[in-house]
Amino acid sequence: MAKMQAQKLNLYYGYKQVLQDVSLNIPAKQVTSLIGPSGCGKSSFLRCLNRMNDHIEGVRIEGKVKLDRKNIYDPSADLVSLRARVGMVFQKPNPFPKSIYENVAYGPRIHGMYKTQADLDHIVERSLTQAGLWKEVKDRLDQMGTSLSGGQQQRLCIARAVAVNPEVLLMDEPCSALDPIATAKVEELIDHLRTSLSVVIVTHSLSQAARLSQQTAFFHQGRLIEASPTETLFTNPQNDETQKYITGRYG
Amino acid sequence: MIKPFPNINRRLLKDRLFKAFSAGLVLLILSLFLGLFAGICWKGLSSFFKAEIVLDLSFSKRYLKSTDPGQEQALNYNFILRKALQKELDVLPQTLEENRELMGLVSPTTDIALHSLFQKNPEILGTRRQISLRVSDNVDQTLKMKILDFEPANSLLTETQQEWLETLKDQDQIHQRFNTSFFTSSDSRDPMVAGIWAALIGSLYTLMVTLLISLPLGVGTALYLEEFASKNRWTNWIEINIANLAAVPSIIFGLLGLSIFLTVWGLPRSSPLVGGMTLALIMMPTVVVSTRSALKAIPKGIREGAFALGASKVQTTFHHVLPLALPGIITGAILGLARTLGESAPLLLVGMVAFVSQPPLTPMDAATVLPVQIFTWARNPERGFIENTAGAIFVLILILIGISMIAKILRQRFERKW
Repeated sequence: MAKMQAQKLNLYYGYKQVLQDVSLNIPAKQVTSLIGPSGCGKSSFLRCLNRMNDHIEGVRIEGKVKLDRKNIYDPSADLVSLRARVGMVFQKPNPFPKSIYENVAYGPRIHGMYKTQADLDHIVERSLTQAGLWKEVKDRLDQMGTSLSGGQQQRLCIARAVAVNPEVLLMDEPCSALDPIATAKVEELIDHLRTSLSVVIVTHSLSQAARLSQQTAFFHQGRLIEASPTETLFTNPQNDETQKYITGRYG
Repeated sequence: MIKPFPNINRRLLKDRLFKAFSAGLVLLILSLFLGLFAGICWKGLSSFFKAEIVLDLSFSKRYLKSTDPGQEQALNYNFILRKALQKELDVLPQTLEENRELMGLVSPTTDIALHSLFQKNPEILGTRRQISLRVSDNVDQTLKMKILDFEPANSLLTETQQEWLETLKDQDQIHQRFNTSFFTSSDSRDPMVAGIWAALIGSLYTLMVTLLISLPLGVGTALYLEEFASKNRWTNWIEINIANLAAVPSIIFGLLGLSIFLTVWGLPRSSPLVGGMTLALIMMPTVVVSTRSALKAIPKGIREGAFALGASKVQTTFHHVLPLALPGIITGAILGLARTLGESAPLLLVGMVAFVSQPPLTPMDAATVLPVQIFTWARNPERGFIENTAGAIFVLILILIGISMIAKILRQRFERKW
């Protein structure tokens, strides 16, 4: 069953149309990767899924995005609970300039997700363990999150995102600023997260999409060209453009 | 062999010329600044030292003005003083003129000083004491000119007075003392005892009012414009006008303070409250501009990170954005404060130019501030006041340098890297 459904989604920045009639189902507890050349709208689509585009001046959105059959663009929809259910990790690691502990605890704090300090400690430990960072930082939780290495910072951001128990995790090129070793760690982590939540990941690395995801969607010039199970898309693409892109014949 | 770059020597020469030119400009500015500072030190430092004369005074009960116990006890201080000087110099002045010459050696406010000494120590009644007293401004200036070996065209003292002065110096009764009263006493008609205490307190109250008003207003405006308002024609218009406000001559704000705060609202004249409110108007644009640039410097990722966790706009602003912008805001506020500390023109218009010999107790009392005190003193013809003017300028510059250093330290302490 689809966890999220985009239906006839159109996105405009001012007069420029960025997405055209995009309809895509995000299956539950699977990894969906969005691929395509730069500027094709895949990141913009991702940001529609938790309404991050709302903060951009002059943006206009048509169509529906449903989370568990409820339209998140409905006027009565609550932005706070949406973002608690649909978390996000960004391209550039962006830990808060606070302690590691406070970085992870921030989400639970603002949503009031704990009763005692011990509860909060437990959430922090669980999230850092989930992000594979606990062993590395457990003795220095009061250190600044910004003092960690790039790969550790990105895993801290993942821990921060999973601390509020999201159902969907959106990742915008999470490995593009990381070295191969850190990338491997994050990939392993994403594969592990799949057991408890749905992941949507934007990536420029076709091999990463092939390794990680169960479903792949190819975007080109603001349109969704093709979306199918990863294996099918990479071995037997239905569309010429997809064929060209995955075989590297696009610029 | 072919030279690859035929014009390389010319390019290098141009580089060197430009460097030399820039270094020359920097040197020029530095020397101008040093010259200014040295000039102020040269003129002002002498105001921190004033001459005192040691006299053997008799506080005999005979000199009590009134023996009535109901009245406040007071002595005939001028009489005591004259007796002491007569004895010291072994003269007996006959005419009023001669008397004036004799009394012209000590400060005309000596009787006030002696009265307050008597009130603090009533036990001196009926005793003789060696007391150190301020000399008159003319004596002080003559002594200072002697130190500098400078002979003025027309002497400040009469010939008799000069002889007396030599006698007193020979008897080792005249000393240069550090002028603590310059910092602890307030304005006076006599430059020998005038000080900057009231002006300092006035400045402190005024700046507090300024800060309390302009900081919340300015930071709030900047936060609204930068974080909450949508960018449209109206906010654009407001932005331009705030930037323009920073360039309005400060005396215009003084007129505004006069016509609104004093005339319409009827707030007390000459008070730090009104002065501070007027200065707050001058300082607010600076705070807005510096706060906005501090807010702009915060990476987008911080806001997005908070939004993506479900933080509301207010939570994002107050949990993340504002704390990160704080060093920039503090620096901007302190620099704005430094500017308002040196401001005098708008305060003249709201009446802070009055002669104030008492430090204000509350921000509602009449007061003056340091730059206005400098202005008031600079208008006085006495040499002592010229010296005091430079001394007060010296203090003002020291305070300004101190403020800039505090701003720098705070900035370094709070600065965060990401």
